[in-house]
Amino acid sequence: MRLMQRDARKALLVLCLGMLTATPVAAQGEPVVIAGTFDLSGAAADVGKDAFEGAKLAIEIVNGRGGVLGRKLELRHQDNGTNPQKSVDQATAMIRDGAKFLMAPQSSGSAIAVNKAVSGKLKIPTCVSTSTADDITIKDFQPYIFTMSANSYMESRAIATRLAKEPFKRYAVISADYAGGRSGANRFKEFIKELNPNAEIVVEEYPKFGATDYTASINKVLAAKPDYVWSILFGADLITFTKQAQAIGFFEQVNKHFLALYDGNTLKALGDAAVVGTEGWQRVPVNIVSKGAAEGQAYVSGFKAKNGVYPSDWAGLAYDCVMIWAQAVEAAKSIEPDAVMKAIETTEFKSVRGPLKFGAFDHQGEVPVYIGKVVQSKEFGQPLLDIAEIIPGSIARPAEDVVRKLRGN
Amino acid sequence: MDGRLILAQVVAGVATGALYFLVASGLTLIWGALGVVNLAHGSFFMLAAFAATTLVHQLGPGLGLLCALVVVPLLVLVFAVALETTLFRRVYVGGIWGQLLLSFGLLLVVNDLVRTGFGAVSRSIVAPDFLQGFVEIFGVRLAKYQLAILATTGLVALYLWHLLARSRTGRLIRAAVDDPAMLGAVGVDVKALRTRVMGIAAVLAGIAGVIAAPRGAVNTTIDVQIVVIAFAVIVIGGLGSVWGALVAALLVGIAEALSTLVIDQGGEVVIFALMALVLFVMPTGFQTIAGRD
Repeated sequence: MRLMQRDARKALLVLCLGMLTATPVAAQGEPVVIAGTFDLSGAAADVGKDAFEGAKLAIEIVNGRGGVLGRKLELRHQDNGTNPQKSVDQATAMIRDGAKFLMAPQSSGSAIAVNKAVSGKLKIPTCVSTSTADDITIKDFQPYIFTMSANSYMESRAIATRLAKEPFKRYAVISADYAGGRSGANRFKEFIKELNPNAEIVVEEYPKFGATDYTASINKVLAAKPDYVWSILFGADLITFTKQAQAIGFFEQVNKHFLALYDGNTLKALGDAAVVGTEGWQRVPVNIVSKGAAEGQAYVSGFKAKNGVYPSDWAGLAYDCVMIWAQAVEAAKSIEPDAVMKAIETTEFKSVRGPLKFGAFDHQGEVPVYIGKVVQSKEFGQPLLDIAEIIPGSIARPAEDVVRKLRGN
Repeated sequence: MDGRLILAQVVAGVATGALYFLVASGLTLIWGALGVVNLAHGSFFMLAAFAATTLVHQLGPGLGLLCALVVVPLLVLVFAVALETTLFRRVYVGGIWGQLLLSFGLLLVVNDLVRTGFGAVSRSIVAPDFLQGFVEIFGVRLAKYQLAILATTGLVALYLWHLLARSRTGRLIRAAVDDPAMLGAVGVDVKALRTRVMGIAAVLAGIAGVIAAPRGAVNTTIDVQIVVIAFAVIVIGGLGSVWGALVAALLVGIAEALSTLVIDQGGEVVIFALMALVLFVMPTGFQTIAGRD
């Protein structure tokens, strides 16, 4: 009996040892799962679809190079309908299903929700590609998040830095009525007054997100006789605003002193209706990155070859999310969340926009803000921004003491 | 306060309200004659806008928009009639929940199909050359294209007046609004009448979708955006009342525009505040429809 017990114990020990040694072997062959809850329908669908394409391309390229740590990447994605609660539920389920990296949703509301309710709680490295909400890296910061877009602090600071050099005094502010827009507008007002003490905000207007008619807002802005109109309208809102403003001679009345987020998709949709000479800012301008760093050139040519069109800003940001995480994994030699996030804090990465570092205290990418004038480009067959100034992230980003103060530390 | 700015906002509000009326008139007709809350009415509007962008991209701004104005409402009519005869007809007796479920389902399905077919990126078309630019009246600028929308709305309102006040179909629709059961009892083919009303409503949404397309971005969110406003308009106007909808649409447009003078916030708040106010004073809206309140 005792002999049988000893034999059983030995067999159990051998089995356990076998399982322990077998597990890493099996895992090494398994793909690393990347989870993505994308805004493929709903209000941010145009952004979400492009972000999805950018992420897919990055994964194809990484897999073509042999994957990370010898393992292929697999993207599992769901459409969240631009719905924060759905985003949280989807992200939670996919992480519990074994995902090692999370692509946050594109809309600010959903990205904030996932940052607060999923990423930190489940300790999963999460990349925010497009949202510029300050809260993500400042007030609601948690150590498993990192962001690829300049936040609204940085964008507003960069634009105010540029405009403060100009002789404009009377500023109009127009933004869609949502948290990110209001926050960006508040930052711009604060910075332009700080950098140009003569500046005053003569009118503010916040039409509803997705408005179908802006004529009343345009009338109100014109009546205030501003020297310069700063806007954080984007996408469909900016297309509609531009067309309706153009129809009543708005841009001529403000001498084309108008600036908005004229990303590649918006300018492409506007086509001939794009107002040459107005100003805009972008996050990943294709005409710059296609001629810049090697990673940018490879990204643009790869995207064009795969999809037949030039990539949008949104695709570039999501592409960089995957690429930066993959580089962090290689630097950490591990896919474990804490090791990866340590690498995010300490490594200088190669991105489509050039060398990129992240703040250790906020995990905010030190990405540049590109500002230029709208031109019709024969080379790209669509209107583009002729970039006049690139404000580096190191200048526009909030310093550590500012971040800590904003957090109330 | 600047008098010219107030006038400019009133003019802008009337122009905006005109477009709201085009969509809301069809929706209220359907409610009045069919007793159906058709959420998919916004889908007709969106389909028409996408079809217009396709025609304009193919044929150019002038010919494309003209063709779209003729062809697209007819295509939307065919689609609506197909839906009415195959799906809506089955849920009339089931009450409002079945209708809501069906029309909401259709809204989602059509939205998904359009997104699959046309993509998620916003589309944009330009107005024909002769409708670009603006006219200035008493120092107030109005886009020529908005004038065209006002003219179209005027024509549609005239047509609806003729249809409802002077034609046999109109008499039957009014009778259906008052008492659909009695109409059937006296031998009127109520099924065919309902199909006709659904078709007319779809044509109105089709016209609205086409003429709205050059004014803004066309994407898969415009179905819900417009139907939410249209519902507010028909509730304010009195469910089933076309003329109540006209007054309500103009009022909503003007209130939205004027509100920018006192608040800097989005207009949706104003629309629903106005709706709450009107319903508080007149619980059935501007015009009560017998049997529908």
